Amino acid sequence: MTEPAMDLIDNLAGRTVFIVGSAKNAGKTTLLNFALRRLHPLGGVGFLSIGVDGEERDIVFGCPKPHIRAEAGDLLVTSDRMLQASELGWELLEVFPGSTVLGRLVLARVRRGGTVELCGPENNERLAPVLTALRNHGARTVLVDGAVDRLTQVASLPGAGFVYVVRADPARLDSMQETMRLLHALAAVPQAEGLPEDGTAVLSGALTRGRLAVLPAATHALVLEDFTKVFLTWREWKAAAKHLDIRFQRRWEIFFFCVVLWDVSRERFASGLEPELLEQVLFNPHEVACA
Amino acid sequence: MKQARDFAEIDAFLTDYRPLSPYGLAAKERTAFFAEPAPLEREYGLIERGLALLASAPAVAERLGARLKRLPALDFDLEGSLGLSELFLLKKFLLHVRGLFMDLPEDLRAAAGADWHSEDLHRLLGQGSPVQEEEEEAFRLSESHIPELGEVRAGLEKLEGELRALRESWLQGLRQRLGLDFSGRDFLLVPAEETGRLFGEPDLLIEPFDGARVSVKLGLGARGLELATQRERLIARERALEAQVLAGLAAAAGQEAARVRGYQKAAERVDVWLAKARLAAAHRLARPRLREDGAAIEIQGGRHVPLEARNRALGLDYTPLTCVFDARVGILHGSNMGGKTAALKTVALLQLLAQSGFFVPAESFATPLFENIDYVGEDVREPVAGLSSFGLELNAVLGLLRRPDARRLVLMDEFAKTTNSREGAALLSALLAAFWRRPACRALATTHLAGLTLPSGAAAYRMRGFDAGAFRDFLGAEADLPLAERLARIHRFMRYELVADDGAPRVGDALKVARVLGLDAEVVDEAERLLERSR
Repeated sequence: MTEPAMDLIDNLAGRTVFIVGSAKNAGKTTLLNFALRRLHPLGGVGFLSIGVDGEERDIVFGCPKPHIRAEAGDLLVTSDRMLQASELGWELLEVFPGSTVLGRLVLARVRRGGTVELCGPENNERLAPVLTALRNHGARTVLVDGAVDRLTQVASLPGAGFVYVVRADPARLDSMQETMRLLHALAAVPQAEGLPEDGTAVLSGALTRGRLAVLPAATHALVLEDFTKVFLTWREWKAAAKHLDIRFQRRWEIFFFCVVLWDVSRERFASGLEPELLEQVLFNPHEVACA
Repeated sequence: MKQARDFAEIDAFLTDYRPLSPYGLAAKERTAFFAEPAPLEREYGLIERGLALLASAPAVAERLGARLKRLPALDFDLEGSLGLSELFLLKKFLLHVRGLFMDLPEDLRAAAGADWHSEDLHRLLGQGSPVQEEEEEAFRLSESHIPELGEVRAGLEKLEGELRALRESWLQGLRQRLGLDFSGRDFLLVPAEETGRLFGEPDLLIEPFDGARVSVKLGLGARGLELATQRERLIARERALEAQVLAGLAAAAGQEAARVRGYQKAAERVDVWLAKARLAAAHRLARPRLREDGAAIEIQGGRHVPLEARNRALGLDYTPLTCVFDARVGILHGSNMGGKTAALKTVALLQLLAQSGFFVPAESFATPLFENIDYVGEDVREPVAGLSSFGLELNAVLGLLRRPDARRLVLMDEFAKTTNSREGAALLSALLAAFWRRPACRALATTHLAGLTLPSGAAAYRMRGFDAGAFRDFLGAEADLPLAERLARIHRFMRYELVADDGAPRVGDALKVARVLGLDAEVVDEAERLLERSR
């Protein structure tokens, strides 16, 4: 792998990172494992998942899934039953209120490395105290194996950002590229400051094609809560952004896109993308050529 | 009582009452109410002790607060089958409750029943935990419980090391022989056309990935398989031994269940006292003086804190309430917006707080105790209009009259205000007479209805109302201000003091305002004459 690509991973140190996928089995957990190994030597790494992960087989599709490998010193969140069934040596640092079908959620420090299944909080309300506890126990870098379409969770946490894992196959190549362009453009939207001026529409809720169509003619600027409220295609967004100064009340950050190619060559994938977007692409780090 | 609590806005006031532990918070939800003096005097004494602690030993109070905050809820049956999480929570609870008890001054410890007897269980659950203070809550299943557990774990560490070394040597060989770099990766994706030279490598597992690439994983090899099998066996043994340790700890915890429940109760008491003391300090609250049944309710400088805060937010002055209600039945007159309801709310808040074991927002407050505090008036949460409102008021009154013997304080706010005023006045007069015939009952009613007949011995009070002279002076001094602005300040000239009403005829606030604002004197004089005649 080239050094700039490694930098994308190394730059996650010290951040709260949601690994979010474009689809089930996009490769989130594989990337999590890779990032954990890369970041572990720096120390202070904590991780968790949204919902359940780390099973042998995907619950929905039944295909094999990668194990999560934890090393001594890592901090992790899972359920007490998952922890006891893991290969790990551990010490328990926190038990969170409430319970899941897989037991109570716990925060543990790994004393002996091994594989583990993860189970985590499923809503924002329960996620925030878990992240706080991880930080309090020394996790400088927190990696969250997020579920599909959990972007709202990233938007709700100040300072957090995400890595978007894209599974690109020939059938979905164009739509994936459009999604990436849209996310890239949304990440560049500035934060709204001060009181709205005349001609500025402040929208609560979703920005859809329908709502765009009924904006008063005098509207020249638009303030939205955050990027998750944009329900437009890339083309619709591009057209809207041409004549509207759009801003978000909450800023957000995308660290990079991890692209997992299926039956698509890098050249073909890259040929359709703008250079500045390609700079934010990490191709599947497992993809190598023999020397 | 709930209606009275809503009317008094006691919950709004108690948002600043913040116990720190789940036990204190549960006590807050239970809303205690005392009708006898002994437990209240004890509660007041402990708040006073808490206040003294906050003032004289703030560091100790801070330490106690930190311990209370760290106490976890034990939301499980201590005598049931405790698992890993439950034992962690119990260990954490014992750690902090022990610290809490140790830090408590002797007298508070005795008052709370904070006697510590669980050193053995505390030590048992703490075996193998880190000694650093910041990690003192950490819990693990220590090998010191079963020596074999230590041997198994040592064996696992050794195997881990061997497996790591074996993998490193394979990886190095693969890098050198085939140029495959697995660093940080579980598998590699390799162009399919390059796989030919990988076949035959005994330690590689090759599977198709997509049409152009294959995935290459590291196999274990014979030695690796042997080590991995040993490792699996040791992990299974470790789990079995850990289950034994867990069962032993759970049994020990179950035997201590009664004591732990006692600690929870003691922690709740300490938390509640300290939270009440912090509330008293923050709002300059006074200890209520409890009086015998039938004695006067005496308020000096009573503040309805939520109302005071709302006034402050609006830039309005607030006048504390000073009064003596010495009759069993009293009526409180005054013009609209004259402060009658605020006065009644203040009485309700102070009485409810005092009987809930709190100090009160007043310079002084002396009162007898009641078994019930009842409110009759508009539903403050879900106001309804017209006859529906009157119907609800009557329903509340029916309930009160059916239970004649209870020591109760009835607070009536603008009873029957939505009905015909003559009928309303007659009904209110009759009700006050009915309360008067019940010796255990105290009643205080606000009204703007005229023509009431009070039982002999009942008392009448009025809000002082509009200060026409001061308003006239203001209008003269600020003649340059637009009239609308001058009128906007009219509230500043309402005098919210409560005074005894001697029954002498008075000019009402509406006529006073009309005269000051320059309504033709002939018209105002006529209105006053008509008013006098109607009396």
